[in-house]
Amino acid sequence: MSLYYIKSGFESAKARPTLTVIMYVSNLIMGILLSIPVLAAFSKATAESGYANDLSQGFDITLWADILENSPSFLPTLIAQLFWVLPVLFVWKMASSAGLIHAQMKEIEDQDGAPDQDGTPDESEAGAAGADERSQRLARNRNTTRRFWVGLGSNALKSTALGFLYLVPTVIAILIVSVIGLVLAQVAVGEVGTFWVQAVFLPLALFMCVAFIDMMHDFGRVELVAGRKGIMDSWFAGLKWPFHSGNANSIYIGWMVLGIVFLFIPFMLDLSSGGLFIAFVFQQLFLAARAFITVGWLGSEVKLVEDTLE
Amino acid sequence: MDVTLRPESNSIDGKQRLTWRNPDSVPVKELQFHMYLNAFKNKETTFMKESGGVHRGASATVKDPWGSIQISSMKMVNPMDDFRPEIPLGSNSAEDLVDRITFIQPDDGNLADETVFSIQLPREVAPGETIALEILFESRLPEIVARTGWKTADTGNPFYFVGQWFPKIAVLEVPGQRYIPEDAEKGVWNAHQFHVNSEFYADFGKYDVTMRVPESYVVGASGVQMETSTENGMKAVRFEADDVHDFAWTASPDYLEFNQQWRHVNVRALIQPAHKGQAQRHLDAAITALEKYDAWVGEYPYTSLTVVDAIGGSNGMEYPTLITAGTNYGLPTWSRFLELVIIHEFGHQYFYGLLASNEFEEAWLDEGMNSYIESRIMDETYGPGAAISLGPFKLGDIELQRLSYAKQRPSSGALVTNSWEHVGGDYGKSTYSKPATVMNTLERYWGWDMQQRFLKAYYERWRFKHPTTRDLQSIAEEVSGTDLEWFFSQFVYGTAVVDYSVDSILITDKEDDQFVSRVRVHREQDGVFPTTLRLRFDDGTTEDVLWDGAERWKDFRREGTHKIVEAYLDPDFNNLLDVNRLNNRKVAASESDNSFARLAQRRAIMIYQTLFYVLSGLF
Ligand SMILES: [Zn+2]
Repeated sequence: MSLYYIKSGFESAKARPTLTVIMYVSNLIMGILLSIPVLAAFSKATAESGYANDLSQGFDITLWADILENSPSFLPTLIAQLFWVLPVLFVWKMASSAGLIHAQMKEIEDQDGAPDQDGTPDESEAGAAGADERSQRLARNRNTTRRFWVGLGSNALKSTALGFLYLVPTVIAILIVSVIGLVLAQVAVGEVGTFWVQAVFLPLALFMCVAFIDMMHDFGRVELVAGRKGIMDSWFAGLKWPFHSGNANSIYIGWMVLGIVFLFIPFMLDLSSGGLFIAFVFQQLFLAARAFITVGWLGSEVKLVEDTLE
Repeated sequence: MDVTLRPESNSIDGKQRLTWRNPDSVPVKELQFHMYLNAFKNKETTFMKESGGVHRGASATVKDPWGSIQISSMKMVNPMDDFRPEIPLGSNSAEDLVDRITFIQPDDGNLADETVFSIQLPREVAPGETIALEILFESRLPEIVARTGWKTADTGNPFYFVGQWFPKIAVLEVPGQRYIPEDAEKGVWNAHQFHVNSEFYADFGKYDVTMRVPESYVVGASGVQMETSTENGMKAVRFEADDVHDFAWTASPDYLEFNQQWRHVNVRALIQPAHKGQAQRHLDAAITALEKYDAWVGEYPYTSLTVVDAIGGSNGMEYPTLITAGTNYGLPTWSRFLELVIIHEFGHQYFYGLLASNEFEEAWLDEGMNSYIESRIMDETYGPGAAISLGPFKLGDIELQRLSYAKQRPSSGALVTNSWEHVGGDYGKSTYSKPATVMNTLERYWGWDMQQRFLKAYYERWRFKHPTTRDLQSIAEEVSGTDLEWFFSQFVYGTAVVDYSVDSILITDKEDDQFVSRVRVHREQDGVFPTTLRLRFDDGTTEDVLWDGAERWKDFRREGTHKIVEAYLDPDFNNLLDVNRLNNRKVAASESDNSFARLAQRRAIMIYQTLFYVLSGLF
């Protein structure tokens, strides 16, 4: 059953490539913006040093230490950037998710003022020929894009507010995990106990908590946008989802595993041949696929919520 | 010695027979002793004032962590008589010298410090005469903060590491020994108080120690284990250590024992139960060190080596034929700090144990020479990333030592400095990492062959003695036949900093396709070191020029049909003392290459992209 929803999320994302493009490009733009100090510092330090090639070959801590010493503001700049990028990232996640949900949900009635053109992939492709098909596809993409931005525009604020509400269970969960960690630390004394509590239990428990609440948050947001519920209602509804729907859990876990794999591969590629142009291209392919996963992931959740609401 | 460990009071009491021969050519009436455990007596001792009660991050956790040592009786006995620990000292009618004990504070005058005492004997000891003293003492062990004491293990069992624990005679330096002038009229006692930044100094001797501990305890000690007997739940273990200048031991019911034979040496590892899986790592590292020292410095003369996986603050320390290491449960194999510590502490069997320099006054001869060879063994044995090897992040030991010198105020702290007089964290840098870098540079300066001849000659000449910096320098000059004053005065006695840079490359056109290229190099700091300047021309040819490095600024000019496109000082990285390597090299504007910056940017973009996805998953 959950495979059906994952498949339909996949089909939904496939039928709306512009959504993947939006997610991928926005992510890339932020990456490029934040990488500018890196380019600046290293250009200044290495361009005429004669070491460019040696540095590209592998990690040389001697030269890195000198570079960092020569550009004392480099590391502080990298850290300072996080101060503005984290809030931006938070708001963008809330807003863009609303857009993604809106673009993928069924148009119950045409409140957006446009005819239903995006349809479902199967019906729109039936029997269409050559040029006609292309123009249809273009029109469909335009409509997807429009629905994304309309959804984003009308829900960004509400979605962000909902995001703040979900900080409450997050903080509570972290507190609970910390308390359990403290209790365990009393029981599991000594070096071995400390290792298992601090290096195994705590990271795992925190990860699971965060994922669990993120799942609630996802469904709460779908309720907000697709279910047209109020903020508080969506919040409560979201909190309940993981408990009353097995599908919700399996959909979330399925997409999460895929999401991790598609982040892990480019990361491993970076360890082996990071920065090489060809590696960079491959990494971007995986990151684009990762953007596709974000779209499909929400697509599945939208479908599940819609089916349940009916 | 015959001593008993009393776990209920964390104390040791027993009887010591000290046999001492007057090495001087004049009679001696005064003796000086170390009472190191008194450093842990209260908050007013020199150690406590210097350390604030914290040593290498360890501090006390119990209400009464204090330790001390007390002599209850001290008598001169006939050195020819047998040592009979079971006979009370009171039955001997000789004068009890205990009242003659006067604590002295040769380093700082802190009257609360009772770590050194002086005693006037009732009679003079003639030159060359051997006397014997019998001493009854009680050592109250502190909770382990600095190397020695007791601790409760994770298992709940008691753990003891017993170091600097008995009344220990200081070194009487006679005329001609170390820095005492040949024509001085008599020798001088060299004794220093227990400091936070200093280790120890003592004379060679033979130790015969019987330790009585509860039967379930496993005992490790300096020297070779002789007989063991048990009686009334107590076990008596006797160890003998010849030609050593200290004796330390450890006891705990927890130890797991692992043995491996290497040639004439029985390597014994005493491991905490939680670290059982790392026992072989301990043995392997110790044997690696044995092999390399044997090949590079000289033969290991003892037949035993005990590697102790101790607890907390007692780890990372050396004693004759007994070293402590230290590891963590789950230590991954990409981190070789366990191996590093074992190789380092083993190295002290040479630079400390056999070449027994004065660690108070010239600690670099022990720690620094040892850190040099440690870094060499690590990098040669484990290759790139010898210390840490995590994906592309690789850190070698030589590099680690160099960075902790070059990037930590390199202009302060000479190698030859009294340990306790170092300021602002200079002790670690000037005693470990800077000398390691100085010696690695000397090796690259005259080659490994010469360096090995130097090390071997130093060992051959000075083992079982107390070499000084001056002795080390004369051996270096002797084997190489060169005057090394310029090197020692700048980098061993002084704080000269080396930093050469290529300032600019200037090309001017002349007629007929001829160019004048001018490379300007700069000595940025006070350190002078001969170096090679490699010039690369636009046809790919190179020319190496030797420069003595003396001038502040120097121009190198070349005329011809080919322009200089690159200038590179010390291209083979022979001078590890150069504190900035990035400025050693420059290319002409025509060869400016931004490829690395772009590569770094691509990596940064990708890492940020991944990070954003991960962070977005959090909310
Ligand atoms: Zn050391």
